[in-house]
Amino acid sequence: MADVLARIVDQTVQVTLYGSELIAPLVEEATDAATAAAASATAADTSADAAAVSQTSAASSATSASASQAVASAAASTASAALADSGILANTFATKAAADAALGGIAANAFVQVVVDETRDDHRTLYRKTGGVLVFHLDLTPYDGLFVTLEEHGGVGDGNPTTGAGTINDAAMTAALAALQSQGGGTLLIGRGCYRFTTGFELPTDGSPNANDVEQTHPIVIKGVGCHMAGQAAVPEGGSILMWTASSGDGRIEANGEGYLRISDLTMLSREGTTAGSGRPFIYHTNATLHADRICAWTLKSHDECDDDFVVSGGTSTTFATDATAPFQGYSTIIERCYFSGIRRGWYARTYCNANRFINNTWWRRCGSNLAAGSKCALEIDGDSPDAPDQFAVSNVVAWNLFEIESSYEYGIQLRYASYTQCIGNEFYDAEAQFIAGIRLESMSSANHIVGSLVDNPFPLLSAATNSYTLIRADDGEKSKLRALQSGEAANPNSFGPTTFTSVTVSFAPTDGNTGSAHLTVKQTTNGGGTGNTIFEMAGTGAITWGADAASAGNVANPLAGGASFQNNARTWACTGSGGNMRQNSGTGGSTLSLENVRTDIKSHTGTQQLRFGAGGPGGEESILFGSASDTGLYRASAECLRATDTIALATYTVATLPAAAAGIVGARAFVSDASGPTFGSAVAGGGAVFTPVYCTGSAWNVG
Amino acid sequence: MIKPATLPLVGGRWVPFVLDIELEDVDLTGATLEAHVRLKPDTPGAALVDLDQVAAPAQGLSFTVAGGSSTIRMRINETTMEGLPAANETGDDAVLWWDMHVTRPGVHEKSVYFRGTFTVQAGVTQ
Repeated sequence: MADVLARIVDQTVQVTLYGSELIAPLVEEATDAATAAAASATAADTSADAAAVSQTSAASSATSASASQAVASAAASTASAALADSGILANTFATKAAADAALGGIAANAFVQVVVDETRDDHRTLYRKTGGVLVFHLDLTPYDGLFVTLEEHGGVGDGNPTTGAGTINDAAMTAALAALQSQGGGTLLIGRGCYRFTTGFELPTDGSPNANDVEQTHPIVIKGVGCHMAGQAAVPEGGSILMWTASSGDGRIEANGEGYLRISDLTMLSREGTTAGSGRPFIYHTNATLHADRICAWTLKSHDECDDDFVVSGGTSTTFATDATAPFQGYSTIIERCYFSGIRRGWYARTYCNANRFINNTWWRRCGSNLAAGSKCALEIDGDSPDAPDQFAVSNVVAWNLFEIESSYEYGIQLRYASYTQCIGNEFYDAEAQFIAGIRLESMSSANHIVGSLVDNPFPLLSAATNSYTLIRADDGEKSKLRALQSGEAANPNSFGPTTFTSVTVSFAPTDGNTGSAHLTVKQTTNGGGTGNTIFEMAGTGAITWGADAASAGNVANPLAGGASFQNNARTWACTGSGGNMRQNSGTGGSTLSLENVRTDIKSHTGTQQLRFGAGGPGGEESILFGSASDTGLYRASAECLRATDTIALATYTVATLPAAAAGIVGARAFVSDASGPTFGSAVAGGGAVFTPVYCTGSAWNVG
Repeated sequence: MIKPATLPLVGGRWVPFVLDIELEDVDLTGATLEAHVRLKPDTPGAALVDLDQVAAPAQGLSFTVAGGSSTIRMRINETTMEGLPAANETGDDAVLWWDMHVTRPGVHEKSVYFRGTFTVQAGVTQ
């Protein structure tokens, strides 16, 4: 049976459909025509019988011929509507040349569609007849101008990440990047597959240096469909993979023009070698701001073999230029959510590399460094430049990264000539014996703020060389600790601003590169941060030192400076505990211990009231000395009670004014000035002019 | 003058198009057939598909006559279908137009027998 049965009746072709899917039910046309016949056709459409679908049945109340004619007429009269409904505009032409040829028949101001416009890279285009000519109106090719693909430029994603085989796409990538630059920027979409390359790619620039003598790169986005993030696999799998089996230049992708580069959602795989010596940064940029997001960087190397950095930001020169030596100018670069396997440094930030973010990235277990001891780190910021001394990389954030340390890295993060870096919440797992510390501060790195997180025991969070500073940290196994590293520079002391500490323990320990005993020093400061006199110091022996001489820890060194005094307003001064002495030693300077308005209550350790004087008398006896040790005083020699080193002057009375002799003062001695005829051992009589000592017998004062 | 029938056709993007039309009691012996597919009626220039009389099974029009009736075979190859214009939006069907001329010497001059839309359905399997 044929698909269509046709008859010619009264010069009219009538057709009957037999249900072939190649033939649209005629009722659809009737519906489009919005005629009464269409309504009839709709009714007919409900029948499953092929005959019922026939044109004749559709026009059940009319003749087949009239129905057919009505449909045809309706279709013709609504041709434009049908075209619009179908997504194809009226005045649509296959080519621009065809549209031009039909120009005379096109109404003024009508839109004209060209399906394959040979004058515009074969895109689908829309013109409008204006002033008798076709004026370009719109490019209808989806996403034209926004996206390009490697395939458009001859690329093939047939690479094999396991073997390295595959079509080489060097020319396709070069052409795609050039196309983006020429059109003012855009997105290179990397499809699902593995694209092999054998060279590096530097983003093109406009050739017109700006005031800083730097050429411009238009905004370029290289975006894939997903990256590999499974460290246990032998090679990356799935998503979009850019695979290099050879490369060149300073980076596999290099952006040295001033502009913007974003790379995201893809895997960058190097199969250039399995040992150190074949390394190259995956991304190298100097002037361009980089946003690298959700990228897997992968090599075939492990631990000490690793020599491929992921991103290098900035050269080491201080001279602006459009090349790899230029100092960093891509401020606000963000590298986040990336994943490294077989990588050396995830980020190597250099001269002028300021104000960037490196966050939420993962170093997986094969990562390591081929560099010499002292430089084996997973992330390095080094702002130094050979052009000028003491250049710094400032104000970067390195936060919430996961470092699998394993058997190669000595440090997770190494800061050299880096200031105001915020290292927050970075975690350092699975460290082995070569590991030294999570974060290393050296080479004048200063004012860096560090908040610790997990570091494998027993390794410290920090290692700091002289001239490096400052952190706030919490160590594993401790509660909380506020800690400042000793700077070693008297001119730049660590300091706290007005701060209230409540119910905290502050401890000080000579670790992390500091030397000497632990001590707490409180100094005066001067305007601008310089140091003044030492006010208070607690040194390693536990003694408190007043004065500026910290070297004599444990002893009183110098009086308080500037006439300052120590006040104890708490009213209780306690020195408790078994053993130990309290000592005031003024040396040769002399000082006074003044007790005012007090009762002196002195007890021995046995509880008996006792004022005890130490040795120091003329014969080494316990003594009360008046003046220096060589002057006069009282002392107790062996088996004696008291001896004076000089004369003892007694009070002088007249006989009449002597205290009354009584039993209570037996043995009391005095001196009288008016004895009359005194006789030793006899009662003294007054009225004379003789001076003589007397003693009390309990009932009289006798001469003697 | 022969008044045409409206015959909307639907073909798949990624398959050949084959249609048999039986003309009952019409002997096309000696007739000439031609059919075009265009973006819309009266679109100037070359047709998107130009179907001339050929020997089956080639792309084009062929017919057989038996018992006083004729059966027309209309065939468009897959590669031709694949090359037809797409709709503006990916996944939409493209609606084109077609008609067929039949010239029967001694009976009537070139006439349109069939006309209508020619819908190219978007496909998945390619």
